[in-house]
Amino acid sequence: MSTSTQPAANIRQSREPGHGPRQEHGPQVARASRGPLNLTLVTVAGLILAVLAEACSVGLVGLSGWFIASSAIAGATAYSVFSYLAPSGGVRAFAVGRIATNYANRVVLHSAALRRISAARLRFYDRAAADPSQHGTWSGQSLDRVMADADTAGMALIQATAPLVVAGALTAGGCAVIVLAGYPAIAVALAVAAAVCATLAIVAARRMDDGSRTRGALRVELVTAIEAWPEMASLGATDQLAHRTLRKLATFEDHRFRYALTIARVRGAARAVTAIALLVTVVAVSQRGAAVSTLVFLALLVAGVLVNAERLVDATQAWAIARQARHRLAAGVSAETSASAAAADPPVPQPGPTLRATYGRHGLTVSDYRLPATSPWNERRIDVAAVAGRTVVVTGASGSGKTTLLKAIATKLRQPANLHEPAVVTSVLADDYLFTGTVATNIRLANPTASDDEIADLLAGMLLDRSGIDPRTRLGVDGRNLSGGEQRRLHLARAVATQPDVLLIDEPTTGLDTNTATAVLRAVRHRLPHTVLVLAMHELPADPAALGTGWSTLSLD
Amino acid sequence: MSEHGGRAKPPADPLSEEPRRWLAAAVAPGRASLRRAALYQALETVFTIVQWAALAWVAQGVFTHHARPSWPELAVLVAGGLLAAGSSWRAARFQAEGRRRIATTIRQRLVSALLPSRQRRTEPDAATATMATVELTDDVADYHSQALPQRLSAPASMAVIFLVTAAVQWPAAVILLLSSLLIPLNMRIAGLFAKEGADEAVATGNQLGAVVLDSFRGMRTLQNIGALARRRDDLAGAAERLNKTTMATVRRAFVSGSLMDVVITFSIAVNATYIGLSLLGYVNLRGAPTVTLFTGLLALLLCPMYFQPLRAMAAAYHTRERAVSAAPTIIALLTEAGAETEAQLVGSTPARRIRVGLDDHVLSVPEVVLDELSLRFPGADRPVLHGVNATFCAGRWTAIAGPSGVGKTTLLSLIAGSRQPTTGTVRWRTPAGASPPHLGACSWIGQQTVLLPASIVDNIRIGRQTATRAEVEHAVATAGLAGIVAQLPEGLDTMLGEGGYGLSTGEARRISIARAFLTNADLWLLDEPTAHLDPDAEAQVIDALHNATQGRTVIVATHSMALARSADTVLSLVDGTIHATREAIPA
Repeated sequence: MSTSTQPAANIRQSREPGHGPRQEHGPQVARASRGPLNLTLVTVAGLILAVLAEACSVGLVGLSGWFIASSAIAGATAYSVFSYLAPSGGVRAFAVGRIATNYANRVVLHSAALRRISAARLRFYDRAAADPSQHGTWSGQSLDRVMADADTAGMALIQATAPLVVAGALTAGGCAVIVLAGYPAIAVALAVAAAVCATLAIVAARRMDDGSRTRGALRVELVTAIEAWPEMASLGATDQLAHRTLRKLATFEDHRFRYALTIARVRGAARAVTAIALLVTVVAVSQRGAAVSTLVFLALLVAGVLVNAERLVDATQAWAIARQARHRLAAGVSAETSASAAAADPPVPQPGPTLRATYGRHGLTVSDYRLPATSPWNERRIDVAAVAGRTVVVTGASGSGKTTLLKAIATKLRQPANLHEPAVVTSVLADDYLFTGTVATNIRLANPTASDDEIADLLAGMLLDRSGIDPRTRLGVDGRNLSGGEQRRLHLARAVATQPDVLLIDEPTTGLDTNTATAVLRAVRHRLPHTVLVLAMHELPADPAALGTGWSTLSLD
Repeated sequence: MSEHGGRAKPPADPLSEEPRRWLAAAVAPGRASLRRAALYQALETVFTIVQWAALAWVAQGVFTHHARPSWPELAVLVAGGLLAAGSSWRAARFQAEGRRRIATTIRQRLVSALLPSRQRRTEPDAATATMATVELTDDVADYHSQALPQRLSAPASMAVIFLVTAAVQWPAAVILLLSSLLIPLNMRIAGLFAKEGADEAVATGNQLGAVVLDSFRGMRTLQNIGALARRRDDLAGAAERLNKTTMATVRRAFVSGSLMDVVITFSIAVNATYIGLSLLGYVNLRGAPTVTLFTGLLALLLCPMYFQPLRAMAAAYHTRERAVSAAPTIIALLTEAGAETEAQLVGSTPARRIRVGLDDHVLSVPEVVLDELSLRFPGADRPVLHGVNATFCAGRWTAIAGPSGVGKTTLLSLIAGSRQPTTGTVRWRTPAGASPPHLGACSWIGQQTVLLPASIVDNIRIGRQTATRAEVEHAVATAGLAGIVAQLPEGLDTMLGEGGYGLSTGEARRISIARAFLTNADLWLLDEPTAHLDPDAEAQVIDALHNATQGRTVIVATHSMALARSADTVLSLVDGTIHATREAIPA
């Protein structure tokens, strides 16, 4: 038995670099560290362009107004030294600048936002991947919601950050210009007006309740009502059910309506603030007896800057929505998703915390597994030891805890502390998934270096070639183009491709006839001569010779 | 802009006509409010014109009289601004009002389709139904509340601005007119650009969606085969490809947006230059009115305003797309359920058989006979159930076991008559004769108990409003709730539901049992009645069920071992048919 550790080491050496799960993280980290800096630069560039574009807009109107007023003064004066060339050139410069920066800022900001969306999605994937309790709880709709959250979080750059930065920069820039023109009082008025708009916007955004939470509660409510319909119908109480649901919907709609009214008032108020600021500007400038060109220029500058301050109402709302989205993404999963997941699955008996599973020089060791308390064999403890190349068959009736044991062993083994040396632990469970694409893409997920010939060989070993399945066969969504037995054999082929040190298979022969089952088991054993195989089966295979020479059984019955 | 959206889509297929028609009709309940919103939007434009005119007037006054602005000038300036603010507030308020009316009407229709008062032939997918009722309805309402006022007010606003400009300075109006002529051309270009990239973008978007869905659904498998990180790379690659094609589309779209920018910007620049040069006396158009500071400044200020409605409509483009894609789902839910309800109204007789005495009890307890039953959902490639033959003995407990998703609930709903089989028959047979199934004449207990915001006693007698208090007390005792009720300060009159006393899931389920017991039906159909319960609560519920159903026919769908063990007979449903019959109690 002790000799068997040697070949296992050889396998690991012969394995391609970058193949095992541990090596995979290397290139990714390097890529991730280059990304953010680049992204920050693009973002900053986009924001600067956005500020420039808006400054050009305000400048265009302000300068045009000044130019007209100055022309009027010059036209009325007999001997004017006013030259129209510089200002009208300025108008054209602003016009061209506005068009160019507008286009550039949209493209750059969009590109940055899209990259932020991608990054948010991948971060979420990483978080979900790190939490095994969520694997398999994903429905299309809950994912759609997560992806929509990622979109919201990324697009906040355009809908929230950019308007906030633009409003801030233009207010500061506008104040600076006004002070330089010699009207500090107006600069103060402008700053105050912008601050009032900002305050209104923030107050309004704070009133917004967490839309996702109220929607989540409403969704749960609706699902309950729809599922409870037959029960209520059998009681003849469907009207009460519908009434109750309608009332909940009405409450939800009322909340929204009230919030919309708040926003309407805030928009009106912000507009009123800018109207008053314009009045103050006109009065203050004319008090000083300034030229009409100065009056027009300052009035248009103030109006132009405050248009951006009014946009803060929308920007802060977008900001608040994006913050909620980011929170949900950071929580890893929406509360609602986890709630529905808990509802969908009956509580899984936890593998006893006492279970120890390690893999090392002496092969696989599992000790202190206590059978779940729901079974009548409460007191039983299970210990398993198997060196490389051995097969352990776990038998028992359905419900006796075979699957639970397999999952527990896999979970424990994957904790790094339990692997005394790097080892690959692969498991095949009843609900394994086939990814949309071809047979080859599925196998290459397990082993990226597998050649077409190797894959074809693997398929032949599983007798899949007889059903006309080759590496290029398309699988459809979750392998729908294949029969149940073919799917099962493809799961096994994929697992074999990982060249594991420990391979745990739940019911390897379900859906296979006796001959195929024997051939498949033999192929697995033959292709993985140094792997510890743990098979959970209803009963021993018809031909135990398929399990190789060194096998043992463990009965949970 | 909203118009070219339609053209940019793939050539019209006949199917897309109905959603469009439905979408157009959905605006009806909010139309009055939204028209008012449009009126106020137009008024906002008018008052803004007043505000700018006042500013030009002030400038003219300061210019000609070298004096401070007069009170009337300042009053008009601030009044114009404040009235515009007020109009914008009113417009937004009426928009919200219209939005609410539209959303409420759609939701009411959805609820009456999803929770019909008589029969329900199709079992709506709860997740889709929920999304339609919450999000998709919002999408439709949002679209209408933005689009209708805009569509009405934009031409009015633009016309007013154009006329005012023409009145004070017709050459400036000519510039506006020429720019307007470029807009349809611009839209055509935008449409072409959008079309060119759209298919590719949609394809890549779908591809990413598939990769994302696959990655999350198969996450457990990815972990099992140690491929989580490799799959991440696939995901990143697909996202990258989508970003590339999106950026290509976006860039083209922005080019057409920039053409609009060019039009607006140069209208302003040309206007400003023309007016300035006229004031300087360098340009003199024959027949043109004399340019004054007032008319020149006003024409300049109105120029950017003229294009404002167009830009707002372009911004609303996405809400339209969302509404158009939301419509088919909502329609499907409404028509499916709606049509079925109509058809059913003719044949349904919701007469409940309430027995008074116990004498004919044994006689009326039915056995349930399934004969060559099969069911195939429309559009599905294989049947959910096929060749189901079974007899459920009168007065006995029969469990239908099988993993989730195998069709147990579907089979129960066939037995209850709340769904029609594709072929085969379901009969409830008593010594008095056979009758077709009817949901109103059996008791159904499912996984969800709905507690109404009412007292316990009213909650229990919703199935039979005429029940006396003593009867309710008897039902409470049978369901094993007597102890719990006794502990409550107000006993049976304790309020339940929102803000009331909170029962545990197991207690709520026992309320269901008490309700069903009170209706006194002879056939009980139980759909996973112990789902989401811990073992203790499950045991209590099983006890209560056995107490309440003595001598009655009970068919229970479950994957709970404990519940199946308590049945007289266990059938298992595998691969769409009842496979093996075996006695429940294992050796």
